[in-house]
Amino acid sequence: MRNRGPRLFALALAVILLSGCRARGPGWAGQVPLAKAEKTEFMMDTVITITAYGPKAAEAVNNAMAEMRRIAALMNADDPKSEVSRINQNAGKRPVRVSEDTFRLLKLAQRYSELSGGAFDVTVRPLVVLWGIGKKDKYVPDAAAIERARALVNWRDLILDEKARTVYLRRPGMGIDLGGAAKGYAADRAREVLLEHGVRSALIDAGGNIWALGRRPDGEPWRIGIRNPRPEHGGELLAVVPSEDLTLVTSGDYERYFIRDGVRYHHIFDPRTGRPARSTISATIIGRNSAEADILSTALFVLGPEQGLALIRKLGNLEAVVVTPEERIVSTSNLEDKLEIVRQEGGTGDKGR
Amino acid sequence: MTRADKLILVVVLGLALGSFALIGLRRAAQVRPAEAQVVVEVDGRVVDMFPLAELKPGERRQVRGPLGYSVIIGGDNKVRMESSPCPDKVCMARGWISLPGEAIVCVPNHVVVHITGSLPEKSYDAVTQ
Repeated sequence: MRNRGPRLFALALAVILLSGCRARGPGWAGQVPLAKAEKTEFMMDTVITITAYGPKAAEAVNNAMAEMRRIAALMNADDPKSEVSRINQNAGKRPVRVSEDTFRLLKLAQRYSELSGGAFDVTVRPLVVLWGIGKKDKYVPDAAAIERARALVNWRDLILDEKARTVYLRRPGMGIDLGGAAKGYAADRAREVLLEHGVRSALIDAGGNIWALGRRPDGEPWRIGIRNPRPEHGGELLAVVPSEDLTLVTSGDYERYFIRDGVRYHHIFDPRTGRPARSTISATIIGRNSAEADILSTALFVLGPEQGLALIRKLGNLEAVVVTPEERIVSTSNLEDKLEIVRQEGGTGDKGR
Repeated sequence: MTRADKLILVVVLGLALGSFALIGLRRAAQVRPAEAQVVVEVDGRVVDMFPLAELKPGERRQVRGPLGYSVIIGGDNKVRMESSPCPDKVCMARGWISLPGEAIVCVPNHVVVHITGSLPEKSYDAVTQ
C-alpha cells in the first residue's frame, strides 16, 4: 500500500500521454481503416458507381447494384418488355397492372407534373421520340410535327388506379418517359439497401445524380461538386457543397445536345412548347429524396430562376441552384452560405485541360 | 519508487511514444505523393494502367469496347479521347484530363478512362451533373 503514490503517478502519466492520440483525428475509429467497396456498371444510358465503407461494404454494394438493375429493367422505355413500355404499348387500349415501384414513382411524377403546372410532364415521351436527341443526327422537326407530338403530352391523361395498381394512358400515341425520375428512384432504392447492410458512409453516383450517405470515412461531410455548364468559362466546377445525408441532382443542357446553325438543341423539353427549354442552362436540387430531386431539377430547369425557385421555396425542405443563360448563379437563400463557388470569374477559363 | 514502478513507467512511456511514432509513420505513408496513373476500364474491369507521365504527347493507345476501338491520345501530362466508335462522341467532347479524380466516360462503348493518384488539388468527392 505504501507504493500507491508513484503508481498513481505512472497511471496519470499514461492517461495524459495516451489521451494525446485522440486529439489527432476523429478518434480511434479514424485510425482503423474501414473496409471499402466500389463498383461501376453501365445501365440506364449512363454509368453508375457505388462506393461504400463498412464491415459489410462489399455485399452491400453488390446488392445495391442489383437493386438498381432491377429498377432500370422495369422503367427502361427503350426496352419493349419493360413495364413502362407495356404501359405505352397499351395507350388508348387498356390499363396495365404494374409493380409497386413503378406505381409509386408514377404517382410521385404525376403529383409534381401537377405542382409544376406541366413544366415537368411524365408523359413527355412523344417529344423525346420525335426529337431523338443523341439518337437521330442533328434532327430538328418541323413545327407541325412538334405540335402533333406536343398535343399527346398531358399528365392529366395518365390514369393511376391505386386499388388495382394499374396505369392507363387515355389516348393512343401517348407515352411515359421516366428518364427524368428513374435514376433518382434507383439511387433512393440503392441507398435503402446500403442502410439495411449497416453502411453509414457511402457515395452513390447514378450518372451525375449523387446520394451522399452519412459522412466521409474521415468524419468530414462529403464534398459534392456541381458541374459548370460552360467549362470553357471558369473551369470544370461551378461550386462545391459540403453534404451530409443529402442527394444532389442536376439537369443541364450539356449532357445530350447538338448544335445546328449556332443553336443548341438539348434533351430537356418544355412540354408547353415542345422544344428544348431555354430559361436556364443548369438546375440543381439538393434534398433527401433523389426521385423527387430528379423530377424537380427538370421542373426547375424548365420553369427558370424566378418561377422555378419560387416553386422550390413553396415545397420547403429543399435547396436549389440555377445557372441562367447569362451564366449568372442564383440559389435559394439558405444555400448561399454553404455554397463554395469555385468557378473562376472573368478569366478565359482553362480550356486546355 | 520500487523496481516495479519504474518498469511500469518505462513501459507506459514506451507505449505512448511508440504509438505517436506509429501514427506519424502511418501518416507519412498516406501523404506520400503517388504518381498520377491513367486507368482504363471496360465494363468496370481495368484493362490498362500506366503513369500519366509515361504517355508521350501524340502517343496513342487503343481500348476495345463492345462497339469497337476507342483511341486515347497523350498530351503534355494530359490525356483525351481522340476517336471513338460511339454515336454521340460525348467522350471526345470531354477534352483533356490531367488531374487525379478526372475521368472520361464513353457510355455507349462502356469505356472509362480516369486518373488516380494523391489528390492535393481535388477538392470534391463526386460531381452532380
